[in-house]
Amino acid sequence: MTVTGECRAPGACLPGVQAQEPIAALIPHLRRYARALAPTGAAPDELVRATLERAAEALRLAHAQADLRVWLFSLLHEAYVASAAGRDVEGAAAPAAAEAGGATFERAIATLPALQREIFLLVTLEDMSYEQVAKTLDIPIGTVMSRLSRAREKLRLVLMNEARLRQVK
Amino acid sequence: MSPARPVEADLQAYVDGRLDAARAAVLEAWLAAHRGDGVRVAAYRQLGREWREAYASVLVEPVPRELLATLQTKAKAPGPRSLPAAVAALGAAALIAFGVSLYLAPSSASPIVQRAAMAHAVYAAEVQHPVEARSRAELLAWLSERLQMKVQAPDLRRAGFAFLGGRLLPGDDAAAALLMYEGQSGQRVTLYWGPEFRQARETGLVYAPGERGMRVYYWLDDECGYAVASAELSRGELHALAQMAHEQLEK
Repeated sequence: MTVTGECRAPGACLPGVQAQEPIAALIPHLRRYARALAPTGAAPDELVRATLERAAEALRLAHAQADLRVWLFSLLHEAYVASAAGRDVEGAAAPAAAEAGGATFERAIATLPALQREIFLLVTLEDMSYEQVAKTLDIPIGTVMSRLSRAREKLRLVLMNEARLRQVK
Repeated sequence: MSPARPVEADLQAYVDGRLDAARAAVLEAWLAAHRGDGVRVAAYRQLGREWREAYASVLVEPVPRELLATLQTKAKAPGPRSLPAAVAALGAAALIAFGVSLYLAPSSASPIVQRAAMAHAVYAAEVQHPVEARSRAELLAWLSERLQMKVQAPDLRRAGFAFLGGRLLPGDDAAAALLMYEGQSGQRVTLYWGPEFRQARETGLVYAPGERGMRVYYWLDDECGYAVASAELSRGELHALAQMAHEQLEK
């Protein structure tokens, strides 16, 4: 994949106008991620709107990054962290989600700390490489691997438990 | 000699299909001998499938106008709005882009066209995981169960296209399936199965051109709707493949 014109280098700018349409094309992906990420707290589309506002600001300044997907998801990450849902401590969102009677997936993901949620979803839904996840969340790749492992194990146990409870009932 | 205990990061990479062949082989030997880890890997893969399935429908939802408007009103950059260079440069994003614009465009063709084009745009662009990691027989049995009809993969090797695999997709009323094929120079063609588009009156092959090279041939029968899509083939090439699939599925 080559970038034309003066934006050959990784991380080089994309002229604002040119990035607008590809960004619009990624909106469904941002919405899916936001919905899977934030079953409680900020409304998912609100996160996407905050993301796009920031993206649009940056576009006007012609600062959009060449790896558009990593850049947009990093903006969504910032919006998420700034929202109440992103700041919760481990499992704090779980009781609220359980009360809200959310679907199995929402309850399960709510038992994870915010960072683990994000790592699991970027790998699982977005099929990002570990390096892209590290860039998106601005953390070392070792952290991506260790948290991914913890997230999967926790989700596995939570869902296994749920299945067992359903059988008992 | 028993294989060495793999590091946890390798195990995770294996789950995601991101481990190179040599290390994957070592790890598989370990998994064969250590049932606990094998169960864990299978469960992790299952998690991935479940999450992708649970949220797949969001990708084909129309984007709320407010969101698009946010982008457009805020970014009042000067200059023309045609963007071929950036679109070409952005690879996967661009492929999804024309899927979306096709989805949004009004059309007189069957709605299966938009669905199939969207599915093609999203999944054919994926290099790592265009399809589910399953054997052909297992995959087709699983898809048949979910679609409640016999899902088959027509043989397109005569035209130089090998079967890559497939995946389950959400539809409005029922599950759908996407089978993927690859030509010798990496061109991808998908066959979409949408049982919700079935109709009593059978159609023949119908051509529906999309934007930026996306082409679809579809046909509907009393059991299912089928659509063959590609963004890289000429109309003639795609027609030959669609005909081959049609003959095998309608005999």
